[in-house]
Amino acid sequence: MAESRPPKRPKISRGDDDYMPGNILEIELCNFMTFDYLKCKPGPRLNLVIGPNGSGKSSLVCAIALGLCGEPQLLGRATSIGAYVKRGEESGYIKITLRGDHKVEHITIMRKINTNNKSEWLLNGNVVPKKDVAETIQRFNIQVNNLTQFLPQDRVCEFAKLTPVQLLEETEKAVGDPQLPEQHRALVDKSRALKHIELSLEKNEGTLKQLKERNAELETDVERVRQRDELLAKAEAMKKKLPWLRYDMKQAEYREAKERENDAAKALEEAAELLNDLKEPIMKQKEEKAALYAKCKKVSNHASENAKKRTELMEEENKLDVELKGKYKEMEELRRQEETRQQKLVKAREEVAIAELELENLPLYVPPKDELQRLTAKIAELDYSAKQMRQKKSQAENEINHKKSSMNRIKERLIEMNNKSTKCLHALQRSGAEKIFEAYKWVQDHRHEFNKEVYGPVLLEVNVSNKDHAAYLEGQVAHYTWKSFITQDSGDRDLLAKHLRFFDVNVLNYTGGDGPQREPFEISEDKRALGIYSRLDQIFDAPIAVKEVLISQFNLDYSYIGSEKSDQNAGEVRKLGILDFWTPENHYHWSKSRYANYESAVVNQVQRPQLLLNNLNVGEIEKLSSEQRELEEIVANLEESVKRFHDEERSLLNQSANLRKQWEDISITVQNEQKKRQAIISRIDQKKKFLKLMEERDDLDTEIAKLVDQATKYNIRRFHNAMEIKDLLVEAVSYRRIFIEQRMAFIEFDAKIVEMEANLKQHEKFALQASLHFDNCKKESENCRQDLTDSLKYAKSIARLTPELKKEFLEMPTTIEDLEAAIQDTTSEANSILFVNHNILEQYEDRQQQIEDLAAKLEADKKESTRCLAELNNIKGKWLPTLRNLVAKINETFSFNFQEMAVAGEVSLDERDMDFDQFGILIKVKFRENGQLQNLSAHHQSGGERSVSTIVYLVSLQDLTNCPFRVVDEINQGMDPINERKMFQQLVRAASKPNTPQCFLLTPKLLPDLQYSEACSILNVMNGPWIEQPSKVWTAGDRWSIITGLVGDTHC
Amino acid sequence: MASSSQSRCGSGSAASRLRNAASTFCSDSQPLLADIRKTVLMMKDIAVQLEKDNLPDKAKELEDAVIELVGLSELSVQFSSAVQAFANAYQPKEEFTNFNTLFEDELSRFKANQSSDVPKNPVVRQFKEAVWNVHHAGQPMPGEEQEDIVMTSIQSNILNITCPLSGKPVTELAEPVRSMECRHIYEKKVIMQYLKSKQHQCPISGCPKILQADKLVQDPLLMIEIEEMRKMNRETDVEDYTMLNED
Repeated sequence: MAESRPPKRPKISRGDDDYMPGNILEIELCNFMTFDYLKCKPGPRLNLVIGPNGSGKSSLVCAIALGLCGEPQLLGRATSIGAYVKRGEESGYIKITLRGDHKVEHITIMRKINTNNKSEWLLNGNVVPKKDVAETIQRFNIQVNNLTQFLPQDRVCEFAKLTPVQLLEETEKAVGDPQLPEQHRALVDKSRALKHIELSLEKNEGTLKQLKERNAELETDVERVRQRDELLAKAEAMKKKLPWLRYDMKQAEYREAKERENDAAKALEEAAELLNDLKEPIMKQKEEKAALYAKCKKVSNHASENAKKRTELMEEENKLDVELKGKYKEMEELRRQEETRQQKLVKAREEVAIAELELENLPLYVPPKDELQRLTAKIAELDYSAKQMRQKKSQAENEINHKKSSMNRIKERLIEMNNKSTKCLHALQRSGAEKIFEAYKWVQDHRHEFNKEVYGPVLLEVNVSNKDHAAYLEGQVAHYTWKSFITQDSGDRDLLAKHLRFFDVNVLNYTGGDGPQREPFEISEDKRALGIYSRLDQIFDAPIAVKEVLISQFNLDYSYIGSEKSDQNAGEVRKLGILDFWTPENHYHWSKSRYANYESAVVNQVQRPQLLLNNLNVGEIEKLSSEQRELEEIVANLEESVKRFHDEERSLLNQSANLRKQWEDISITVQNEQKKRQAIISRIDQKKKFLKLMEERDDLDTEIAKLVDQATKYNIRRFHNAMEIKDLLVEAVSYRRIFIEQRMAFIEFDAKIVEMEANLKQHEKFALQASLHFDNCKKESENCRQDLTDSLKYAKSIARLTPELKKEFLEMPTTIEDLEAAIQDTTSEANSILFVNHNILEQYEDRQQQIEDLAAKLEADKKESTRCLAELNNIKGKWLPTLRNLVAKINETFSFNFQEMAVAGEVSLDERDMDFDQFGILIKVKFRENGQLQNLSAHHQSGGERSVSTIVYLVSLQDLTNCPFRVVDEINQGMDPINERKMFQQLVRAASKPNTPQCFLLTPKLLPDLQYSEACSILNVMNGPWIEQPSKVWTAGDRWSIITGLVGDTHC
Repeated sequence: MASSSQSRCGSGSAASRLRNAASTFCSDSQPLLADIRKTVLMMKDIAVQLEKDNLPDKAKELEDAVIELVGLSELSVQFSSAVQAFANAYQPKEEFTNFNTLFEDELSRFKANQSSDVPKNPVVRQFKEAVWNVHHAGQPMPGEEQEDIVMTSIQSNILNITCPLSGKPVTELAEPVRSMECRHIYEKKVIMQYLKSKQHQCPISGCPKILQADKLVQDPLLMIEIEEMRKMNRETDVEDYTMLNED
């Protein structure tokens, strides 16, 4: 280690408390970024702000910047002040206390911020404009926007990006001499102004030279101006003659147009005349054509009539031919008929002879009258007998109908009763006797096997008319009884029990009249008075056996029936000796004990009947069935009688029919014999007539002669028709020849007419063209006349034709072409004089004045240029030596410090002659022995190397700086441990010097075993939910040494 | 130029129209010729009947009428040919054509040649034979030898009795057509199918003529001749019947 260098400056005004003016004494935050509340009291020299990532170290840096009039953009985080209010809060404040010029003087700056991006500034508790705070900060040379003084975390890497020019500017600001930047700006401005003046001076000199040259050229053109003016005047005079010459030309044109008009009129007249000559022959030929057409039409009509006549004659010919053939056929027919007639005549004569012979041989026949009479009498007798039988049969049939009607009524009744039986059986089935139907059916099917009548089920045999009585009876009789069958013979009982065992029904056997004597039924006055009016054995109908069984089994004869009155006087009823009775509401029953002569009474409520729902009388069914069987027997007997009567009647009728037939046969025989004789006689008569008729036929020759005459007449008619047709054919051929001749002539005429009309059309077109031509010529003539008039007016308006003018015109050319050529030549001669404008004299004089003015201005500019240059040199003489001295000092310190970090380093000033805006500071470093010094840039060094270089440079500036405090944020993160230790030592050493300002170094961690001097202060950020207790100890924000009680020997 | 062109158009139009008129005239003449033929046949029948009725004078008149009609028929055919030839050769001229004079000259020239031939026309000879046979059957006509009579009696305009393709008799054809080249008769549908099969020679064996579809015509004369053949066949049948009757 080299010997320590002596300090460069004497100790500046550091107070007894070791603080300098402008140092930060206290920082207080509320609802700022991550802090609810923070209070910090930094030390006067190096302050190490330590805390884990995200605990808010950089927030402290932001607070310092914003609290001292820094803009949000400076920090590289949010760009609006409202974003720095803690999340969820509406407002917060930053309060920074600075040391004044004396120990007891404190300057408190407070900035209140809210989420609406608004700020409020307070200075020592008073609300003031922002500029007042800015002035105070400026007084202490606090520059939060100077990267060499204030290096936020987010802009650390930006420092390394500064260009040499920018680095120079920042260095000038950082060293603390305010004149350096101002002088630099003045030099830049004056240098630019000087260049401007020199440029203007050069330009004006060029312009002056050009003006002088131009004026020299103009002197020779003055003479030429006058010459040109004379030529132009001459051309103008010649132009006056031009309209008059045009007038003469127009006059000639008019005469020519007039002549053409006359020629056109003559041509038109000739064409019209020719047209009329041509039309007449066409009309004549058209008339001839029409005549030919009429002739063709006439001939055609004649031909049509001729054809019609021929058609009619042909039809007549066909008709006559058919009739003629008919006549010939008729002749043949007549001849054939004659032969047939002769044959028939012979045959007819033979037939007459045969018939007459037959008549003579026919015997005479006599009808048997006696036999016919006998048969007639017997027939009458038989018919009478049959009639009587028919009457008997009718009577029997009537009787049958009567009986059948009665039987139908009984049948209907039985059907109805059977329906009731079915209902009762259903009731029993519902009450528990599932197979009652099968049992009943079996008994019905096997009724013939029993010795005596079998009744059952009991329900079907009992008929109760009163509903109330039915309820009493059903309540008195046990349930099993209603589905039981009752027999009257022991054999029947055994048979029934054997077969009905499977059907779960009971069999009761009634043994006759051996039962005890029953008490007679009587209602005494006493009983009647108490409402008793009947007994159960009196209220139902049933077969005797069924009735006796029910009465004996269930004591129906001891059970009385009463009314509501009986209900009310039940006790009285008992006194009458009744032990059991029924009322509409209740059933009363008394029973005696056999041992103690003790009576007990039971009263039950009357239940609705479940089984006795229908009136059913099995006996009646049996009775009706018996009646039905009886009627059926009667009907059968009657039907047999009817059949017998019917058979007997039929027999009689048959006999009568036979006899009648015999009678008829005899009658027919008689008639046939008579008819036969009559037929023979009739046939003979007929054949004689026929023979006579045949003999009277006409003569054949006469008929044939007549037909021949008719045929001849037809042929003659055909002859005449044929001759007429021949004449018509000759005429038709003639007509056709004439027609074709005229038709062809017509066609030729039509072609001629078409040709002539085409020729006529051609001439019409020619005439039309002639007419159009005439109109055009006439119009043209009129236009020429108008042009002539206009031309004359125009010529007069230009110049009146005076004698002097006429004399002058004589010297000029006499034709328009020559005159125009002369004008053109004169004008060209004038224009050949080459100069641009006519104001040569004015321009010459103006330019002379400009030359004089410009010369004066040029002299003034030269003086100004000299003055500006002198002033620039003056400022440069002050600024450049100071800057060079500054850079030399920085270089000395940088080289020394950098040698400890790496191999070598150098800082130099990059001078650019008069381009003051291009001056810059170059940092050259070398990290390896075998390398060369390289400019610090992103292209030559790594990030870590740049960080080391930058920090060393900044530390070097601290020896020269005039800032009250400095902030560096996390600049050691890119270094390796070796460089970091070296850097830390540099910082500690610098902080120990008297001239070093207050410094804040923010870092999340530090290396172990670092050597700290007493100038260092460690500030731990107390933030988070688990350090509430320790943070209370540091609520005052004092340093660690004070808190631990080490106050005394040290000043920190 | 325009005038000349238009004039030529008119002339061409006239020539074309004249050709159309001539063609129409020739076509329209066919029915008239058929009528003449039919009338001649009718007259022959009537003459035979009149001869049977012993009216020879009227039969003679009919003979003269037949001669006149046959001459008229030939004259009409010649006239049609003259008209057709004129129309095909027509050239327009400045003066008008006197068609009457023109055609009269043609007809005069034809008549000079015709007068010596008409009585020898086959139709006229058939007429005379029919009349002669009424009372002189089996005997030769005056001035005629036996051979001539036989040749004349069998002569007819129908050259083939049956259609060579379908085999039907010509009297039973539905649409008989005749070739203008060799005058053979065919069934129209059958012969058209025959021509479509790339064969163009007349199907009659030994006939060397080449047929064309547009040369097969169905003219009224053909129908008349076929009808005439039917009548001849019918007369033969009647004769056979008569003989049976005699037996």
